[in-house]
Amino acid sequence: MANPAVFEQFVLVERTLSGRVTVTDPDVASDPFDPIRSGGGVPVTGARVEVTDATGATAVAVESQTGTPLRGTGVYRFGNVAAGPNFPGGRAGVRVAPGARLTLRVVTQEGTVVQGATTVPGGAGTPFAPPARTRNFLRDRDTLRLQWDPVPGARSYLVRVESPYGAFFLFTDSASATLTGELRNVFADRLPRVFQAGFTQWVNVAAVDTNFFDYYRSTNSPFTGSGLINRLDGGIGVFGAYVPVQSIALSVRATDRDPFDGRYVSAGPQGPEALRLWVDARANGLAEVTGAYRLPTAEQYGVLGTLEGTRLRLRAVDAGDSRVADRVMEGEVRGDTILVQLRGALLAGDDGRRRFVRDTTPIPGEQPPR
Amino acid sequence: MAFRASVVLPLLAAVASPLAAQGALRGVVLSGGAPLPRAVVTVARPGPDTTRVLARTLSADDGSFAAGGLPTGRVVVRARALGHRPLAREVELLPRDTAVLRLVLDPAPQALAAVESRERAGERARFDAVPEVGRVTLTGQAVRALPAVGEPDVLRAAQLMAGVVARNDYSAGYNVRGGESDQNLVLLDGIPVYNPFHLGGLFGTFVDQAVAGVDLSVGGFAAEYGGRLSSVLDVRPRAEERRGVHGAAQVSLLSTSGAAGGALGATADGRARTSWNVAGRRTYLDALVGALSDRSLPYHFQDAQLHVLHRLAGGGTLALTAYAGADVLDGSFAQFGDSARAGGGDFAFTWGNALAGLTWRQPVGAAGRLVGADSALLVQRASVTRFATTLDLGEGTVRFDNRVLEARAAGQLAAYGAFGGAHSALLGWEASAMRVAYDAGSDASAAALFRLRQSPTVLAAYVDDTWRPHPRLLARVGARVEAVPQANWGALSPRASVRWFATPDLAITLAGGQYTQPVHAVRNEDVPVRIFDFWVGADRWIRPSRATHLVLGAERWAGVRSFVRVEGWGERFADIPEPNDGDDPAVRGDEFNALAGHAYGVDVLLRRLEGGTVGGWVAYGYAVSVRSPAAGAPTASGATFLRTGAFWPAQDRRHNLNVVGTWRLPRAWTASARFGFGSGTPFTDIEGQLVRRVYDGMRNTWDTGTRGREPEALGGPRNAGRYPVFHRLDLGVSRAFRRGATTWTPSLSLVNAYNRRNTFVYTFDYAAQPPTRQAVSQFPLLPSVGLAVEF
Repeated sequence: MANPAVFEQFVLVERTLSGRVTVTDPDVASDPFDPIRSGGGVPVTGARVEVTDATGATAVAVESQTGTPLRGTGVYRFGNVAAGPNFPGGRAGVRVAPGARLTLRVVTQEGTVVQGATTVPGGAGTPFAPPARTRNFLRDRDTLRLQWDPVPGARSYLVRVESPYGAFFLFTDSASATLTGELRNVFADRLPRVFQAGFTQWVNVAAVDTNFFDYYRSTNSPFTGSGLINRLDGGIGVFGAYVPVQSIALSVRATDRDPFDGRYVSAGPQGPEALRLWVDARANGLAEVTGAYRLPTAEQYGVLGTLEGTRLRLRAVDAGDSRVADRVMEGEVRGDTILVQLRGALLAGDDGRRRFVRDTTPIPGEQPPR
Repeated sequence: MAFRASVVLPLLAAVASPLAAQGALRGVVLSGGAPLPRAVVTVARPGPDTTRVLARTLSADDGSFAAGGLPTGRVVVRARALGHRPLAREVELLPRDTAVLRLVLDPAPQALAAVESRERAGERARFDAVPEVGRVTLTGQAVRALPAVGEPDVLRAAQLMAGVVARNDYSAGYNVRGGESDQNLVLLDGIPVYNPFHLGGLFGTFVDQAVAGVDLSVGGFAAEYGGRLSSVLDVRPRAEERRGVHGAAQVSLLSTSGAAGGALGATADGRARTSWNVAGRRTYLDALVGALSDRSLPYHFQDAQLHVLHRLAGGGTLALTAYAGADVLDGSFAQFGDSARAGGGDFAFTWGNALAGLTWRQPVGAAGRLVGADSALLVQRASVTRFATTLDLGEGTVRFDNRVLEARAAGQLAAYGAFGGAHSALLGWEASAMRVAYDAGSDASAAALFRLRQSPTVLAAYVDDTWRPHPRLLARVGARVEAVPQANWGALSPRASVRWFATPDLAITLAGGQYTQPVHAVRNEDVPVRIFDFWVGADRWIRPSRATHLVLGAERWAGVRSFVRVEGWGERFADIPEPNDGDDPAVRGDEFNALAGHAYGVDVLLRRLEGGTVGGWVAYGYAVSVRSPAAGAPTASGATFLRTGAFWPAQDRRHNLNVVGTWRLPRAWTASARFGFGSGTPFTDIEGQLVRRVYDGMRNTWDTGTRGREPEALGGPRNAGRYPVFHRLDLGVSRAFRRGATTWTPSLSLVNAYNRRNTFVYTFDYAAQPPTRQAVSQFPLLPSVGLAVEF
């Protein structure tokens, strides 16, 4: 993907699944350094990957495999000379800037040739590294209204919201978007909320080219195996362009509605720790709980869990992928007290036992309970 | 009482025959001393040959009769009248003489010989009078006698006729003679119904208790029908003619239904002045699940149907027909699947039809006399049809809405026996004002993905004339002129058919015509599941599709209830719209690709009509259907088709056989069976899978996006594969018990009696090593019981 905001550009080369190779179960957290294998794909190694810009400069992307077992197979990297120094050897960089026309040529060891071309939206002077902003977002009351400057040459604008159940995204042709706090993630099972109380969720807006837009707005029918709009020659996939135009970190909160909702504090080995919890839904004899787990170091995690009777299970997860859990808490709720055993990344000598007690002190920036 | 006869034989020269060698007689017929009018009086020679009648006359109102010019000599005079014993008297006729008789008949009850009354079946009557092809009629009784999937279904019954292909068990939809499933015109009392299905096509919308019968035309239909390319299914509502209130209730494993009807008042000829019939149906599993568990089944469907017929003075009728039905699937994902989860978004799918129409039929002798007709009938109809679909995921996160509203006015003047008695002529017109709205977007993010507004007006006029130029020849010629001004489109569609009777029971028919369709369902025919349709109308970008039919058939009747029909047919299609996967949402007009195609085949129908001990039919169809992008024309066969862009459409079932039988057994038992066989329908083989990578621009990384996302299928040549053959046996049995004025009929059906695993679709897994292909079956063995109560 051609992204002028970053130096390192990636081309992933993989085969379609044919049943000849055992692949990793894709329902595990993907490894950003080994996205093909960890994402259930079959990487193509040893391919020649060339990216050429409008001036005729060509970068030969480098397949940088590291570690044991090897990671990064099928991931080919080249540099954006507009954003930083060239790769060692000077052959692996081209200028990826707004308005640039780039062509891609991949030749596998078997001789298969795949080609594509993209034009990066924007022109000279188009800002492409927007400063990140943060804001609080009360999910049940607030509506996120986004506006940005139009980018010349943009086929569409991608609005992407990071969520623990996977990213939610939509395309819009206009230079604005509105997201209500009750938005549901239609790309995830059971349509969970996009905005999860307690999490810090990134909302990114990018101008994208036709290739990106067509590839991600379309999908293949499971019955016909067709429908995907593919603009590569010789292969299936996308060689597109992505120009960031806006980036906002939302600190998502919700109004307290359930008796369990509240802030609980506990002593920890480094100082007071806090759990801010909300019941997201009650059904089937249990409650789903979301929230935030804040450490004395100001380190904060979003948590997801369940409350079944008095039994509480919480997982501190990656804000963009609930499959990645840093810490796990299991315990019991006794009135305004939560007794849990913490597991995961703990300091030496920390037995993981915590006793969280409800704290009714008003929290700056939060709405009082209704 | 013995008869008495007095014969007076004076010679009365005044009344003598002018011919000297002839005689005459006159007299009076009496009964109980009173004159007896309209007694039949015959004069014959004596002897065994009573058929040699010399004269026959009726007695006048005063009982008198007379006959002259009779040969002289002995004759027998016989008199008979209903309710009297016959009387015979021998008399001598003299030249130039008039014999006078007084015949006194004795009143007496008479035992008449058994009379067999045979109703002439509608099919037979039409065979004799109308040179049409591919038409079958199913009575409501016949539909109810078939083994049922849950409960009787007129659309599933129609699936079993020759020329009709049912794609799979899960769809009550059907394809006719190679056409797409949206090319079937479905009418309720002449009013169009857009999506007559429930539960993804699993059941038809019509409540069987409210249906009198259906007429299905599978090709070459006449000029009075327009708007669809392939077939016409006209559902006739039931009109209750009995006085008082009568009704029926039915419980099946699927739903409960009820109907009531009655007649009010009477016309001079003893018919009901007003008849009415209402019916309703609703599935009940949702209520049952809710009552018996803490889970919920967030789906139900419901139907309501009304038909009122009022007979006007002067022989006309006014009929009101209305229908409303809906499928409602709404709930929360929290209620499904993983009970260890509490959260989940809401979803709401609703779709349904509503229609109402008023039809006025009036005999108009004056208009008929203008063309010398024996009779003429004027029909005027006004109707409104509404079809609506809403699909909402996540409280407005994604929402699709489709609304179709059609206000329709139509009229027809039919003259029977016109122009010297040999012609039956039709003159008709139709005007439809449609409103189509189609929105796709996200209310929760104020994003509009697609928005379509159309207001096409479809205008049509037609003429049609059926005449018998020769006792052995029937011809029908018609033409239909149609226009959609908003699409700047118009067409003349000629229709013609001719039938030659080799014998009174054997006829050869040749029929053909052109057909157009200005509304289309937005669907990919290759997808085997039909949850609901989105409809769009013709405009400057979406052209009305066209078809040409040619049918050559032979039909032979054996008796009054059995016939065999063989029809060879060919059809050509043009401008069949298919959703364009690659359309640009910013560009209006690229939403559809146009397909062309052709189909040909042979249909055989061997049928014994209902009404006797045994009824049923054997329907076999051989068909070949081909589609290609409009620009290309298939010129080869097999794989070459596929390489050149042509393909077999999903409805291309080559062999299709249905054997259907119902038996009326002693003690009010009825048994039924259906065996179906079909060669495999095409499907696109999945040749691999693709893992979709999602680019995360913030982290500059790639992942698979939402967790658990399945790899995407990569199809091979379109519809190059074929599913295995289909066969299925259904059995049904019922028995009627009569208790007073109420009839109780419990029934049992076994669908797929030998549990054949017919393939519905394949699922593929290319992440496995070796890759796997798994068949998902159609109906398993499906026992079902029901109870119908009629009063």
